[in-house]
Amino acid sequence: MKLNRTLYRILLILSFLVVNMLILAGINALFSYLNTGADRSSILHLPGESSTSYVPSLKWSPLQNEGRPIENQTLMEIERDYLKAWEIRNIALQTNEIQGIADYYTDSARVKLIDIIEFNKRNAIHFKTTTLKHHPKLEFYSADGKIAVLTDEHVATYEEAYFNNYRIAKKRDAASYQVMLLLEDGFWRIRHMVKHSSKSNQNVAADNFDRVTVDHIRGINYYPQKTPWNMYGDNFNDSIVNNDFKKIKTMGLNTVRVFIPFEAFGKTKIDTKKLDQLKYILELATKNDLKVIVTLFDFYGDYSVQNWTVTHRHAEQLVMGLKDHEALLAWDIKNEPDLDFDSRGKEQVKAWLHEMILQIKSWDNEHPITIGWSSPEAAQHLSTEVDFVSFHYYREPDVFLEAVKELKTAVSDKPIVLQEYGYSSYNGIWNAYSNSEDDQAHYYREMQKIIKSESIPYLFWTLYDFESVPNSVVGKLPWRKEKQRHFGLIDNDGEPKEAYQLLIAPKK
Amino acid sequence: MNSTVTLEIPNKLKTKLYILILFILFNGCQDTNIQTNVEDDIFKLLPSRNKYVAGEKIQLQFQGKNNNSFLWLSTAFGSTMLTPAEEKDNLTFTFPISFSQKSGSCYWRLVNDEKILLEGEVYILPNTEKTISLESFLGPKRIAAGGTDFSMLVAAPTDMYDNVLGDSTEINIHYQFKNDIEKATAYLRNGIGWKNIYSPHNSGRMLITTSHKGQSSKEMTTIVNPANAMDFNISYSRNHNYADGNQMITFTSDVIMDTFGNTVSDGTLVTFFVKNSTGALLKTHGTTINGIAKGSLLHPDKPEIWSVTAYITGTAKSNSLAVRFAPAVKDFKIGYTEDARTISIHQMQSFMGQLAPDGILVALEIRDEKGILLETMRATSREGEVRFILSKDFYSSGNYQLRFSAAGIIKRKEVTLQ
Repeated sequence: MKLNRTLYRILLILSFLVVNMLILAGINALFSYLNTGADRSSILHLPGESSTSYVPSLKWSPLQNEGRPIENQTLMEIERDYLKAWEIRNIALQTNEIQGIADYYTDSARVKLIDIIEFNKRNAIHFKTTTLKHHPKLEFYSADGKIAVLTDEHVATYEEAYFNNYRIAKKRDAASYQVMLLLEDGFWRIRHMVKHSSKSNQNVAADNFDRVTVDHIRGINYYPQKTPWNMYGDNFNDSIVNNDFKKIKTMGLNTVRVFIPFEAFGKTKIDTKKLDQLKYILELATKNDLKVIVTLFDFYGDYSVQNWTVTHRHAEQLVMGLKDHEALLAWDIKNEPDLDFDSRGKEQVKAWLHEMILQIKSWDNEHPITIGWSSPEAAQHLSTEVDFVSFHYYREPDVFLEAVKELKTAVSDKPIVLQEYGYSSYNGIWNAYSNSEDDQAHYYREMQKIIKSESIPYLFWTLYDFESVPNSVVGKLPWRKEKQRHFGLIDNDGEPKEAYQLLIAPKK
Repeated sequence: MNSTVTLEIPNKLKTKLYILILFILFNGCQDTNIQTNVEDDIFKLLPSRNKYVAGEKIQLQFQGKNNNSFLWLSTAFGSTMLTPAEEKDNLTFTFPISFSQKSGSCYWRLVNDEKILLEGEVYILPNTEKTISLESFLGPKRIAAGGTDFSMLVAAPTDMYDNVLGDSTEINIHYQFKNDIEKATAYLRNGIGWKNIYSPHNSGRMLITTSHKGQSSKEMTTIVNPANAMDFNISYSRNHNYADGNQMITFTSDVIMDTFGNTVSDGTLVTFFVKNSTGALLKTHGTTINGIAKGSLLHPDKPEIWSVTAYITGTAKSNSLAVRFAPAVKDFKIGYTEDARTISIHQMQSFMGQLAPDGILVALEIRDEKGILLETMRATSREGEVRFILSKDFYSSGNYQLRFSAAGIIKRKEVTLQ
């Protein structure tokens, strides 16, 4: 009886508390609902952040225009609005919507653009377009500063045509345009735009790199032990890198592959501090007599045509910054892009890669270009476009030879590089204690045998067991992360594993 | 080689041959499509021109069967894809008007399932036959007379489909000023023709129009303002020459002209600077009406010699005038109460013996016996009189030296305050 009373009391007090909490939560929800709405700052019509999704390369010809000499400020304004007009046009052709056109095309010009868009909309056609290079030349600037005429030569364009959301074809071309702009309401708006001759554009890459260096690659995919996938910025430590490079050199290796994370390096605005660190890594490589394969666009995954110019500006700064360095061996455009085929579309990813090869060739045709495909089968993609074919191999050694032979036949005379391979010695609960350092040694023994007999250039994965692996690499699942942590030849205590001896290359 | 062969051929055949050659030449000139067969030869472009005039019907016909093909068109303002109309074994594509009416290059590609089968270019010329619109721009809209300043006329004529006309198209420009009508020509380059129209020596309005093949633009106006003013003269007028601090003196400029004899624009600001005998600067402004600017200042309240110069800032200046002011107040009297603590200045008489106008400044300096300045009191006259009270709270009994100054007259007194 007494127990019952106590129970009732407890229940009563608890229900009282719960009811009170519910009432408070209700009031809170109502209050926050009434406080939502337009942000007050929207009253001010502040200009939005200027777009950084469209940054084609643009170089003005030397100014020799008729009319009045132009002020630099005005030229910059014309450039800004002219590119914006292209961007708006490209977006309109993709979405078949006319937002923004009125700001960048005069009344008479926008009618023509809208006619085309409406025709396409009726016929379920759209285009994904971007321009890649502009070479404008100012022809005329009026005395009152309100009219400008320019010719834009060899505007490199990439375009994909879609019908009912199916891609019908793609093209690259270069055309010249004659453009008249009027200053209206503070905007330089396009009044006339006439296209002159256009031609299909196929840049042929010069193929003058030293093939011997590629054939003799014996190397490693490099990350420091404590800061894998995150070695720049505050984590950068030159003495650690130097010591590791010394260690790599004493193993008889000659190449390291390093990765440049796209976003962490600042997208279109390259973080100069990090770029300097990267240059310093190349310095250290030179000092230790190593060559470096630079893998660009780590953790990049957009590939959309509208986003191309952003990646081009990113790569341009890196390529221009590093291309004269003697330690540089090759450009690896992207690590395992075939893993994005499902989520981003195979054709889209391939088109992006192909364009990136052409872009990099235009800045640097000394160094070979490759793509780090995740499997020998995937490495057949774009094999005619790259200078050497790179592939990764994490399967059983006994089918390796077969895969290599198949790839060699498919790519005929192109050099192939085994750019990543390795074996995790992780032995724990997540894989039911199934691997061991012995297994790893066995794997490498088998692999090195085939590599030697077929004389395949190789870079293994990797020097160290890592202390931690960021989620962005293999996700959050512990069995993946744990596995990824134990691919090294040197364990967490700094002790070489059994496989270490196997990978010491004979000195030449 | 050819000629020797033709010589041997009979006359009848010869004429036929000529016709044939002409025919080939004629066709050859027109049919210069760039054709690159990407795939096999299944598709073939049937003979067509590669130059059209805007507004003409444009059709491309291909021999071939696949009706899943598209014709992909690219022009300056965008792209589209056309589906074919099928007739027997041919594919016929008709350009929509948004493409057939737009001048410039129109690149076409016959595409099918990720493949470009054929490609080429048609060039569409602006239609010069039909009505054109003469879009013209003029600026700046105000210029200075004298032949160095100019308005720029920019003509961007278009055909009826709003296409820019080709280079070297002739544009006539007419401009009228007063009794003269002049003509000039400009030739299009990059879609525009332009001409600088320099100002005449006279100010006024200039009307400008452009024409092409009998079509005219609207009338445009540029206003020719007078050029910069030249140096000028000023004079002054005043009611009397006494420094009574009450009347106004007015400075007046001549009619201010530019180099070409045009009266400067109304509203030109003229600043009159006055330097007085102590070196202080006074200034007054006037804006011109019909070239004349006026500025006024109050007379000084003591005898002065003013030096006056007028300026149009950065442009022109006038002669310097010297203006003298004679003393207005000749004398004043000083009166005391018994305890000498209330001091009045009265009977301030002006030049005709009239009471001096209100507002004449009187300053009183008070010093102690040793000549140390204790205070300067200032007051202005009212009805010819000024009163100072030396309060007991501040000035204990004793001897003081007083110095009065008004309208340039100075008087000294010694008093004993009770």
